[in-house]
Amino acid sequence: VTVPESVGDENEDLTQQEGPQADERSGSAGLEPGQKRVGALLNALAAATRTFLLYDARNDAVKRTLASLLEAFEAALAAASRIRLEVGPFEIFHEGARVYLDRDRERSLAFKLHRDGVRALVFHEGFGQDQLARLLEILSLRYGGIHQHEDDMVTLLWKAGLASLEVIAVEGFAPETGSADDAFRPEGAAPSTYLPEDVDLPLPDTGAEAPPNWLDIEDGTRAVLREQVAAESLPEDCLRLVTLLARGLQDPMEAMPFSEVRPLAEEIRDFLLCAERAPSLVQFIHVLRALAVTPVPWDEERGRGLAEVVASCGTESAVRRLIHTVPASQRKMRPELVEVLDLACPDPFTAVADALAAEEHASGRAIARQLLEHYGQRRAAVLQQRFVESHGRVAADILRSLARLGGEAAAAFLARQCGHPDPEVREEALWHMERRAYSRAQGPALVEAYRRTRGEDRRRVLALIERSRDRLFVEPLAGLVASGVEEPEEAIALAHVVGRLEGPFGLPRWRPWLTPVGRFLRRRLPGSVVQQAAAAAAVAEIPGDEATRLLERALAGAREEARTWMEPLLQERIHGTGRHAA
Amino acid sequence: MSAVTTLQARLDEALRLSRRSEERELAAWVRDEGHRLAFLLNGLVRGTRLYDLDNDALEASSREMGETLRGLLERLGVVSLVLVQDQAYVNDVRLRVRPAEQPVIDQLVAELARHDAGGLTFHEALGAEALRRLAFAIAGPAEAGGARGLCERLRVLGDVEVSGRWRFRIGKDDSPGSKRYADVLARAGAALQDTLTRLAARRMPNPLRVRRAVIDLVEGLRDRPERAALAPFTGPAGSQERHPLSVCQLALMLGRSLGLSEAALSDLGVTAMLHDVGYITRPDPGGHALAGARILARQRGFGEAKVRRLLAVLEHHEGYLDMSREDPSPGLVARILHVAEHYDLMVASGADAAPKLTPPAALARMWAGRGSEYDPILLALFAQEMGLYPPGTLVELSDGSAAVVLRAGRSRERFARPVVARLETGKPAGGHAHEDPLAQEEGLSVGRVLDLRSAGPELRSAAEAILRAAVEE
Repeated sequence: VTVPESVGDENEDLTQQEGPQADERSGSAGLEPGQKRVGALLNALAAATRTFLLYDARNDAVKRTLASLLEAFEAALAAASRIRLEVGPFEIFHEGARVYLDRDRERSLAFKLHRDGVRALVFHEGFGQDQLARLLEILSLRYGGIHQHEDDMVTLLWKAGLASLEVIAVEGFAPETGSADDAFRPEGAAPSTYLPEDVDLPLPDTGAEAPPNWLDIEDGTRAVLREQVAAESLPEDCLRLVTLLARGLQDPMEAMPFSEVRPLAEEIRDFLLCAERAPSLVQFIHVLRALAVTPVPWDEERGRGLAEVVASCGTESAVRRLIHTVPASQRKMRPELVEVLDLACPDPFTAVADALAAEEHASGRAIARQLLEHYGQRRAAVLQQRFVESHGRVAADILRSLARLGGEAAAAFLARQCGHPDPEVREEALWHMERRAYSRAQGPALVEAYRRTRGEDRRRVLALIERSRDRLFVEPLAGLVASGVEEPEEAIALAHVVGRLEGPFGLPRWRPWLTPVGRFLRRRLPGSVVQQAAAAAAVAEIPGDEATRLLERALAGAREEARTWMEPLLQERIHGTGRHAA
Repeated sequence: MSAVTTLQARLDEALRLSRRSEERELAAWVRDEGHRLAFLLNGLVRGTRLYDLDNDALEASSREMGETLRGLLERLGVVSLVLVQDQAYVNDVRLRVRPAEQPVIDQLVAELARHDAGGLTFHEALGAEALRRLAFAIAGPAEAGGARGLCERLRVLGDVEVSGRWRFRIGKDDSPGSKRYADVLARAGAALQDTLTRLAARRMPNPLRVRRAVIDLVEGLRDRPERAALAPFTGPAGSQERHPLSVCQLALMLGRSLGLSEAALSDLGVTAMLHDVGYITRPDPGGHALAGARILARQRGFGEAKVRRLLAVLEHHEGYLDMSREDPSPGLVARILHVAEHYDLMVASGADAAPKLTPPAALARMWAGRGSEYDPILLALFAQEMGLYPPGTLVELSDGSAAVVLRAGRSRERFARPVVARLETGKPAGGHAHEDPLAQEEGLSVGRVLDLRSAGPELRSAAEAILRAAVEE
């Protein structure tokens, strides 16, 4: 445990002036311009580091903070090729002036550095983006809290080997427990004789001695060996470790209970719970399952423990991690993910659906949808139910999965959602409907969707209906016109579609609306102006002279208001701009 | 892609890889559970002043505290409740208390302060009764000896440590440590001893102190790798730290020759320092590898270094090509340790029972196992660093004078012509490292190898003095 230091030696004046929770920073009064720049840089650095605790690194807030930090670094290092910072418990000094102060232990950059033994930092010219990324990573990790790792800020910075950042740290650092009194050390057997006389004996017998000679070793040969301790080989090493420990667990001489290594197994599981490491995760699960097959007398709890660890690879949070870690550039489901879920998850479908609900990134959602499609193949009804229970983006995602399942039922379901009250779902449904072939199962749903939508969405539904060329739509749509659509534009749009779908067969339907009734000066078209305009629009879509004559007669008998709608339709037809120009 | 976007993408990837165990989630959980633990403890302490220990009034809260503690231990391995002035921390996580709750923390601080204590570290779960007794001890009168007295009283209850009051380490504490190699070695030995002591007491492994020492060693060997080659002869003879320290330095030398980064070297060095830790619980050579892994596996928190360390501890006795084994060769770290360890055991004048050979004989014996027992590339690199007459070898030069090898020539041409220092008994040992008679005197060569152990005491003493001086220079 790293020491949460006492503040007993703090400058009293500062303590009185500023409360511990305040985000205090030194005022810039009296500072030279260079010091102000460095102060701004440190505040930006502290802010960026904290940002990672609050937001995902891909968040826009992080982007803004990083932009501000890069700018601050460029400004500070452009003005001075070397920036030396002295680190105090809560403050940081530059050229003798305090340029940063924050007493809040959770927020303070100075506190985190000082706690780990850093006493000065020197930034040199050339400290660029790469080194900044590494520094931020280290700082944000050490802001993270739980001190379970074996590194502190100083060792991490040392290991990072930042060429343009010099770290001056105290030797010996803070003791682990912070105890000022060594008397509280553990009483366990001091291993003064822990190495026996026959340590590591017998040594291997290699036969006769053979004097060595100089052998040139190519750089490439060394590089191949070095790769064995590269980060990329860690999953393999984890598997190997688990395999060797599994052997130890089976050894009656050791009588080792699984509980002893379970935390380690869970840590390895957490590491392997990543899309890129899914193949190793599959192997990991196989090792644990194989171990569970043979019960051992010294560990009755083993089977249960192993089963729990295996099951934990398929929980909703595990699935969420698996899909969340898919690189943004890759949106294709890997078969290993399915394999993991099949091995570990009692109900992969539900786990994936839950994970999809929680996932925010597009790439992760894409993977989740594909998994959902995989597991939803035979559970379309359950998937539909899940859709009904969801809303917004999640519902839209599920709908996309449903759309890809195919089949008549899915098509009808999708069509119904074109009139969904949620605009995200509606958009998703329309998008798919516009890109898939029409089937009759969609018919009634599209009419219903037409009724439920307005504006642009309604126009898109109508376009879908028109594209279907299905005359089954004629009666319901014509019925809508007849039942009294209030807006002429809408009635005309509907009638256009009906006219196109029905063709010449539609003339008898519209003739009564366009045939004047009454005698002499009282001859007038029947019905409302909207109905007259709609009838004219429908007839305008019907090819042939008969339709043209009908329109001409109707126009002659129409009132002024109706003529404004009907005249352009006739003109288009006569002068060749309409679909069925004379 | 803009610089910011590139930076953002890099950080995203780096943090994703680093935060393998969802530290943020864990921190939030520790904060909540730690809060519960601190408040329950305070309640128990105050309750024991009002009720007898077997009173039902204390039963529920002590049971709840026991469950909370057990839960924390399961995930963290060790639970440290630390109180600093008006604040409380559990394993580095500061507990957030509302203003109305602050008096509770103040009370707990005051209760422990009466014993001159500032925190409690639980290494194992305690039952309800033990926790009531713990609270009773804290509520009781301050013992003579302050925190130490309280610690003594708690010892019978279980594995609980009491820490002194917390303070900032400033002022004189901040003086940087000496970078003299002898001091670096001494600190490394002390760090190892301290770590072993804690491990022997079944404390949670925390290699941080050893790592700091290893970092100093890496730096100390950066420009003087021959110091490592001399480690088997210049270490603290007879001490338990000699072997691991020597193996550590030899492994670092070999790792550097391989071109490992300093970060990888520090991981390798920590592993080398702890590779035989299994002997703490299993004194037989056959079982100490798994025993060591079992001890080190208690360390919490995932890390690349930890995984490779455990693997190397398990495999460091495996030969390069063991046909009886189903697996491929041991990992790289284990193979490096295998070379370093065997060389050290064969040449060092330790108290162990390994057959002792001169350095050239030891290297020749290992060379015979090149490709079967030892990784051929690693052994070739090791031989490059050591030469035909490894540092520490006592030789008779062709002119009849005795000399000790200080460092290898590190080239094909000088493979059999190392840098040596002539031994002149009765003279001070300084200044020999700059001499190089085999390069300077035409026709001079190594005549034969002498055994340092059977050499006369004066010659031996002179050789050892020169070697020590060579390490120190």
